[in-house]
Order: sequence, then C-alpha cells, then structure tokens
Amino acid sequence: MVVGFVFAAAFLSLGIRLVDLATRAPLEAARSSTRGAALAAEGVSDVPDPRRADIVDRQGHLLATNIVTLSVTADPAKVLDARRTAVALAGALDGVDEADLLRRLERGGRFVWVKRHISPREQAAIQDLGLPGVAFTDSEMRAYPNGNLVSHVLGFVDIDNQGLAGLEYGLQRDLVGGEAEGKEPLRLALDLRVQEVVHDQLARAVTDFRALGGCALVLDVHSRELVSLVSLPDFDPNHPERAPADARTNRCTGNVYELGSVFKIVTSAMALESGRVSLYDRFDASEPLKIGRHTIRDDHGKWRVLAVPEIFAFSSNIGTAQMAFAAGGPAVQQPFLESLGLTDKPKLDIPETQAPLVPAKWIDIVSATVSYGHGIAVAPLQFAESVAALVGDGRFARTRFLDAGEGAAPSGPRVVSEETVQAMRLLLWLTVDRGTGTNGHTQGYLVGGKTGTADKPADDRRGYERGAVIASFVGAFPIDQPRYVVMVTLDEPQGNDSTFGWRYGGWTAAPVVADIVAIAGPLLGVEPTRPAIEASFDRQMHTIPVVNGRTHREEEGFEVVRLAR
Amino acid sequence: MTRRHNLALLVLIALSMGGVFQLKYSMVALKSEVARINADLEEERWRMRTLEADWAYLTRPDRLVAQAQALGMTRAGVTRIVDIERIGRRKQLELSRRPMPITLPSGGSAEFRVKPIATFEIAAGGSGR
Repeated sequence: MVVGFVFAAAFLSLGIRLVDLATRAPLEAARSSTRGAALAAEGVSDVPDPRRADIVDRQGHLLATNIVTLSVTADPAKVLDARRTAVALAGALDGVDEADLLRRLERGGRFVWVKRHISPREQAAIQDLGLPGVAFTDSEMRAYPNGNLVSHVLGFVDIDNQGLAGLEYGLQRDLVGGEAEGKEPLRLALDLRVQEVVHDQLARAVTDFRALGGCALVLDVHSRELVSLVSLPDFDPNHPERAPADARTNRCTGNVYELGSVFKIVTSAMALESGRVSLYDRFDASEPLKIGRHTIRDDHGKWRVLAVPEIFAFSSNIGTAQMAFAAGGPAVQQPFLESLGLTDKPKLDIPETQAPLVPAKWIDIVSATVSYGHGIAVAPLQFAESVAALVGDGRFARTRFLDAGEGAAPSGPRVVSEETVQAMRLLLWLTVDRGTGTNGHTQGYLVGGKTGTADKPADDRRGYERGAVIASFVGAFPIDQPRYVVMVTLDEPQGNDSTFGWRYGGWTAAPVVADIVAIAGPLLGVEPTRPAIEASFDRQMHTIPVVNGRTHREEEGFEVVRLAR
Repeated sequence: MTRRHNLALLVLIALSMGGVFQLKYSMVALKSEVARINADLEEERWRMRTLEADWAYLTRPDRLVAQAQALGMTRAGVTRIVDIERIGRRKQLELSRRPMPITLPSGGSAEFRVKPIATFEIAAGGSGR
C-alpha cells in the first residue's frame, strides 16, 4: 500500500508537470519575437533572416528601418471551404489574386502566405470575415521614411527583407541580423539636407529642360565621401515593383556616358603634368584639325591661336587635341586615365556600377577624340572621383558611401603634382569667370568648373544621334581650396526661353550646379570666399601672357564672351 | 521501529518532492515572468522603432521645406554668413557714430562718443561677386 502510494504520488507529480509544460511553453514561444526572426534565431537555415540594422545619414536622420507589420496566413487543413475563403480574402485584400490563392489552398499542406505586410484597414476587414483556418502573424518589413529622396543610394529589399539593390544589397552582410546580432546602425556619409537640395534642383532642371533624366552628386574632396547622389527618374523603395526599369537605373553609377568637354579637365591636367605643356603655351586653333580622314572642329571656335587657359576656358577641341599630342599622345594618355581609375570598373559599395567603355585601339584619332570626351564613356560618379583628385590633393581615391569620421582622409596614389593641382584650379576658375561656364557663377563662393556637351551615340553604336546630347557641368568650390565637387548631367535636355534655345551644358547644367552650391554651401558650413582671394586669382591670370604679349584682361576673346552672356 | 522509520523516510521523500516541485515551479514562474518582460520590452522596442519611422516621415526635408515656405521662411543664403568678429566691430562703429549728449558736473553740456578699438571701415554683408 505504501509502495502504491509512493508511485501514485510520483505519477501525479509527473502528470501535473506535463500539463504545466503543455499549457505554458507555446505561450512563451508565441510572445518571443516575430515569425521570421524567431526562425532565424533558432538557426533555421533555409529561412532568410528578416532582421536588418537601420541606415542613418551623417546627422543621424533615419533613412531605412524595420517595423513590425501583420501578415495574413492560412492553414489549408483547417479551411472549411477553399473557394469561399479565396473569394472573401481576394475581395478584402488589395493585390491578392483569387485564382492563385484558391490553387494554393487546394494544394494542401499546413501553411500558405495569403498576403504579407497588410494595412490596419485590411486587418479589420479580415477580422470581420471570421474565416476559419485564416490567421495573422507578425513579420518585419523594411521601411524608407523619406520615400524617393535617397532611393538610388539605399536601393531596396525583397519581400523577405533581403537586399536587392543599392547599399541594401552591397552591404547586406553589415546589415543582416540587425540590433539582435549587435549590428550598429549603418551611418552614411550622405547628408539628407543636401540630398533634398540636390534632388529639388535637379528635378526642376529635368522638368524645365524636358530632359529624359539626370544625375547630380556632391563629393567631399577631402574625405572623398559621397555627400549626395540623385538620379532621376527615381522610385519609391517602399514599392520598387511599381517603378519602371528606367526609374530603377542609377544614372550616376550604372550608366556610362561620353561626357564631352568636361573630359578636357583630365587632358589639361595630363598635359600640364607631363611637363611638355605649360599655361604659357599656345596652340593654333585657327582652322579645323585634320587627322587622317577625320576633321576636328570647335563648337565655340575663336579661329585663331589660343593660349592653354583660353583653350580650356573656351573649350577648344582643336587646341585640346593638340595638347594631348604635345603631352605624348596615346602612350601618355592611356596610363594617365588608368591612374585616375577611368578605365576600370569602379569598386563601390553599391552593385549598380558599369565598366567604362574604352577604345580597343589607342591610335591618334582615338587619342584626339578622347582628349575632349568622345570615344570614351564613363559613369558621372567615376568622372567626379577623378576631378576630386585633380583639384584636391592630387591623389586618387575611390568614393566612400559610409561616414569615415572626422578628419579621415584617404591616402591614394599621387597622380598629379601640387603645381598641376594649382594650375587646374586656375583654369576651372577662369572657365566660370570668363569662359563657357559663366552660368556656374555663384554669389558668395568662388566656383571653378567645366562645361560639357556630348552627342549621344546612336543605338547601333555607329555614329551619333542628331539632336540628342548629354549636357554636363562639373564644378568645385571654393576653388581656392576646393572642399566639394558638384556634378550635374542632363540626358537630352531641350533648350527653352531662359537659355535662348541652347542646350549646352553651360546653359542647362551649370545653373543647376550654381544653385546647389548657393543653397548647400551654407548648409555644409562652407565660409564665403573673401574678396582678397578672388583678387589673387585675377592677378594670377594677369601674369599669363597670351597672343601678341597681351594679357587675358586685355584679350578681346574674353570681352566677346562676356558681352554674349 | 523499522516501520516508523520507513514512514518517516517516506514523509521526508514526499516533503522533498514537494519542495523540489515548489522550487521548480517558482523557477518556471520566474522564467515565465522574465520571458513576459522580455516580450514587453521587445514590443516597446518595436513601438519605438515605428514611432521613430513616423518621426522621420513627418520631418522629411521636402515636408519641412513646404511648411517653412507656408510660414514665409526663406533659406539662409551665403550672404548671411559673416565672421563673428565683424559683427562686434560693426556694433562698435555704430556706437561711435551715435553721440550721446551729457550734462557735466559744472552745469555745462558735452557730447559723449565711444571710440572704437578698430577704426577701419568694414564692408557690410557677405563677399563675392
């Protein structure tokens, strides 16, 4: 009897414990986390981890985050009438296909996604239906509070929160797992305030000039951090599936263009760095240049002998081609472009990159056309990188998308000397002060820049399209000690009344850069240029003799340009 | 004696079983409490994230720009940036140009003028062309 009592007590205690475990454990599991996160935490390998770290701008403004939303699921084994359920759910939920849902419900099994990430209104509608076998589950959703504004930098994720484009894809490893795995928010170099300014100005220009699209970017010359990047048309990363493919194309990194005369920045730096050309040299641009059966002409021709600063400021193709040959031609040009990273596919934190289109053979005519930006196609950001090197510290470094911290300067290989950098600043200033880029002038800041207008290659890559151009302007400010490079490219802009019908980069893209500098400069804490600095640039130009020993101030060509504005 | 001893032992076993079960039960209860608190924390954390996302949505730059424009505000241009030193000197110059009539102890009157430390003229506003 005693033994019986002992066994009875033991079995009773086991029974109580079993009941206890059976009733409590599922409750705890249900409360622990969202469905995907719980599976990921348990190490279920075939379920993608939906947890992701936040992305913030350099000021800490939230750019991307995860929020919890409800999703609707169904258990086909518990669904009483599959057809009625499918009809009711398709009626209550946007975007749910009745036939597809019915097929999945009839296929059997124990789990079917009906719709992910539903709205509170949809949740209420489903609850009102009271369908057996239909349930809700928590799931994490990526949210982009700024909508289109930073779309091409951030990219987007798929329904399982896995990166598909932009930084979401490029830095997937740094993001996935999120806070739960000790991942800090990803701090970008991008400044949301500047991004808004750049977006606003570029959108206005694309509308005003009826362009197919455009790209605008701001690059920190000191740290090579990307402060802003806008590509239009853009898309809402909260609903990337609604955007056409063209809107998802990043025109700053994912498309390459023949950029035209802005390339003269590279050619001039190469010529000056070679030591075979100086600011004091002159080249004959009085008639078209013939190379074999090809003829090179000037769009803004002066048809006379031009000094190097004039060749640059008036954007002479004839003079620039001769400078390239004087520097050493293809033998010097190709390695110089390589040193600036203009011949290789750029290594960026985003996957939307395209390798430049470079000539297969570097013969004389190719060298001549490349000198003024035809016959070579690069992405705007890749070109801006090289400009930052040529007006900054003379060293080449790739663009950083992440905040590198205060005072962090990259130490890339030196491509040009300090003297060449100084000469380039002078040439860029001259172009905005008196050359083809006067519309890039900004009150308060001394801006240097270069215009570019390139014909678009025809679809069959044989020749160029008539009337279709890529208009660009790349500027640096303040040009005495450049802090930022600003580049704007417009795809097929049309002239309007404000440009007297012109669609040149100097008329369409330069004013956009000027407006960006004027508004973003104070936001970035750039002090206005002192009058003494401007006077010193003016004095430097006086020291360069041009045709017949006269200085630029006295030279007729500049006066003609000034009157023509 | 042996029966009494055995009985005592059985009672002791039963008591220890009860004690162990009680201990286990209170531990499970505490574990459950911890799980509940963690779940609450998680819930609050998600609520905070949603609120942060809401805040970011409500303070997005294009919305702020539109609201600022509706209030008649304009962007701060570069011409509004001046050295703090300049502001001080300008104030001195303004004071020096404003004579203050005073009555002397002798009954006579005179003009009191402030002499600026820096006496050179400073251009107003920002620089540039």
